Amino acid sequence: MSDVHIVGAGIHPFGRHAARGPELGAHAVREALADAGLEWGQMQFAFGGSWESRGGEAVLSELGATGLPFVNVANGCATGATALMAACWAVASGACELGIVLGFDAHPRGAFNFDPALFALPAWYGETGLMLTTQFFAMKIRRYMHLHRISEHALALVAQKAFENGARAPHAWRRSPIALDQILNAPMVSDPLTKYMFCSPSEGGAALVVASARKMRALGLAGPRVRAVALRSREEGSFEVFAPSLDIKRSLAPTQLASKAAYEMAGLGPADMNVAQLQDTESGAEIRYVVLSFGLLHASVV
Amino acid sequence: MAGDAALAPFAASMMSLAADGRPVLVGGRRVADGRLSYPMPEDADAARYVPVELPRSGRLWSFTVQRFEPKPPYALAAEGPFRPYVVGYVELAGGLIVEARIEGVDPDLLEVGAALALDVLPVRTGDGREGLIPVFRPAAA
Repeated sequence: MSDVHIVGAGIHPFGRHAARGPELGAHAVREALADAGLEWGQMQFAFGGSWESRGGEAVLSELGATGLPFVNVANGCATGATALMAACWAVASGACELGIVLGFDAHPRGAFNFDPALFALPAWYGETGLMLTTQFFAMKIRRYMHLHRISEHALALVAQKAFENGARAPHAWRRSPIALDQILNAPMVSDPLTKYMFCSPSEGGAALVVASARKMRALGLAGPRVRAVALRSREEGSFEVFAPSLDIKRSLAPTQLASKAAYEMAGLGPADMNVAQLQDTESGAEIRYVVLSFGLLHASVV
Repeated sequence: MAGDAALAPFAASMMSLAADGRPVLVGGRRVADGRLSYPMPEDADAARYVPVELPRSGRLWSFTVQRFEPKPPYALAAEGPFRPYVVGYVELAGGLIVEARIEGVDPDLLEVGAALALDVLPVRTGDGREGLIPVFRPAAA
């Protein structure tokens, strides 16, 4: 297995834009290539995806149809991470040495709405108003708060911190801090989560250039080595989105399984980590994922 | 729910009416290991399950309030403006947690663990389809 390095990174700011989804993705790729000092024509492969922008390869009309193998990844919220994992496998196997990892999208305003048939669910699940991701996140954190005595104040602190981070990040959509009281007293979207505790669907994209250690040195580049990348899907007993019923006996969450696998691959543990980036669909997810990936790796939590 | 007796379930797999007119949720018990799920699986999965009537009462496991009108495929019509509704997971005594609307409660006073019983709610879609959906209400003390 070859070591895999990240030699370039690019991002299109998140928010609302005039540009179409594939243009956002192509912008991120161009930034990543410029970061590495490379050209699109040098890329041997690409893994990437979007949900609402005609998949990943929609960027080819922007970047040039060079004939490279473009693998469209469709794995929901995990599309970007899945693309990175697949690209690392491609390089580590020795099959390729240099390529692109890409995720982008341009979501319509408001909560996601899906066709129940896509998830093998009956039509009534959508028609009668049970099939909303916002409901799922709210009920997940409600259960968690009940079991572990987490306060609504804690949810607001997470949102406050996220807005403070956004104010410091040029690519963030929300760039102004918001006071704790304003977060707590904002209208509820799905109780106990207020408007400012949810991440609004938006438009943006991110890309990485990955290379084998050998190729990186040959090109005179430098970049961090990927110590581990792991993905896990749900086991029976996991409490996940769009579930008309749940098992009473909880299994470990995919986040716990993937975190354990990643620590083992890297030969590191939670105490070695200095920074974390988490899915922050809403304040509750961040609290749960911090616990699941740093605290309780081996116990069923919700 | 007198007056709703003429209405059939909104969808067959969502709810049934027993001979005495009471609502019943039909889940599936997986033949291989007895695992329960709701609704009873359809199509190719159905062969691996046998239908089973689920208990009519349980305790609130988690809940939220749907505060905004969902986009389609949500299809229910309202008299006047959209009214928020409570959605919850209810742990049934028989070994399964099911998702349903919760009626007859004040969400600000509702607590996990509340005793609930199955009932029905008549609904109508924007294109004129009518039927009963299963809901849980506070159990009679």
